[in-house]
Amino acid sequence: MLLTLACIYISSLMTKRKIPYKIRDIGALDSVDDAIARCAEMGRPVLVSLGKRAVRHQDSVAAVPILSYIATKCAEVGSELITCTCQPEWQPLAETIVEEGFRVAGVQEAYNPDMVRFISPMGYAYVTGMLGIVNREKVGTTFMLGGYGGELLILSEGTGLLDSMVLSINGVYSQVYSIIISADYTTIGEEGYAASAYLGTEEQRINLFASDVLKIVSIAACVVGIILTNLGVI
Amino acid sequence: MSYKREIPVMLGTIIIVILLVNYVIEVSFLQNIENELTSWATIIASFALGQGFFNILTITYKRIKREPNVVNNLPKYTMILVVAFLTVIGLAGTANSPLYEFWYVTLQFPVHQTLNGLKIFFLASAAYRAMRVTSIDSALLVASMMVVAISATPLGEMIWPGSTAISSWILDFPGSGAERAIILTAGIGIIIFGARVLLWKERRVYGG
Repeated sequence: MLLTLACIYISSLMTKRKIPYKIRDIGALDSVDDAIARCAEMGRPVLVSLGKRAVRHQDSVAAVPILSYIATKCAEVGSELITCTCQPEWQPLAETIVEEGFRVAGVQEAYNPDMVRFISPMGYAYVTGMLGIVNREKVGTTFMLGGYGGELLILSEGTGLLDSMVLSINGVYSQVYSIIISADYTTIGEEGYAASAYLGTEEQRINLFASDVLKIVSIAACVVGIILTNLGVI
Repeated sequence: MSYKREIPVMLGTIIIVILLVNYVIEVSFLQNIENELTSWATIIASFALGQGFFNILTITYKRIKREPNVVNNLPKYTMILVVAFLTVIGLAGTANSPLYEFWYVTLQFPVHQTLNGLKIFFLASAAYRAMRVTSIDSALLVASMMVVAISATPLGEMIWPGSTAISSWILDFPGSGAERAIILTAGIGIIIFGARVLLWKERRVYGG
């Protein structure tokens, strides 16, 4: 934890001193703006699924800033937004985030409480309801945020079959095989947790550099551990 | 300074620090605070659940009022009826009551299992797209999938005697290696994300 804080502090200093750095491109996150703009051009709504996990789950917490970003972007370009929740406690939170996004974009009057819809707390019922919305309302892009279980494949593949672009922005690693084969763009592992920083300001983006440094240190520690174990030292 | 925003952020940070310090060094005083906070979290979550429930009913009621056509509103009426029905059952008995169990066994369970079974068709559809050979990477993926698929069938060993050994190697070495890499980096991602929240660099998490 101390190492993490040190990495973040050093990266903050780099921003202040304007030291150049390089962060690799993440296709799924680069295509967020294009996907929303595409929906605005086609006059089709953007659908955001917040996953089936409770609000306190790490994937759900990571989904909050991304939903905020998507809501602001949709408000800016005038794209219709539908947000679906699976847990009742998500409902007031999602309403607040979406309303805040519209307020930040300066079009609070365009916000409508109908934009946030509760489907069902049961995973399969949730994805079935979502597929119904995608089919009826001709959704242009579906963003899959938050945590999922086995029902993820039905949502992802079913949405794709209904002619909607699918962007999976989450850190769900247990279902990563399902996402890769069915979604148009996907984040893998830590990319899902890095999304909010990647899509944020320059000061937030530099934190990804800290993440990369930490990864290099972890890999180095693994390699040293392997060598020491094979030498019989530890 | 906006107290409406800053106070929740400060409270959140203090709670995170307490939990973190207690995780690293066990202090009985902090442990008591953590237990108290956990109880509060449960209470707040229950209120949030209740708020969400009433919020849904309010929104549905408003939608029904706005749309006078009964036919268009039929799903919404049905939803309210089902919610009211299950609430009455839940209040009258518990989750273990025979009435609740009857509805669970005869309605919810079969529907759930049907959707679970439906997944295989989506899997086949997704696998068809994934198994189209368009590059060297996809060719390797298809070859690996074929070996694993053959070995996983009951007659796999009869069709190809060496398939089980190759399949085990694919799953144990390249497969689990890649899986561990994803899990490890996801763990690092969660740590960095948590640190960003702790250092107020993720203000959107608090609605900022």
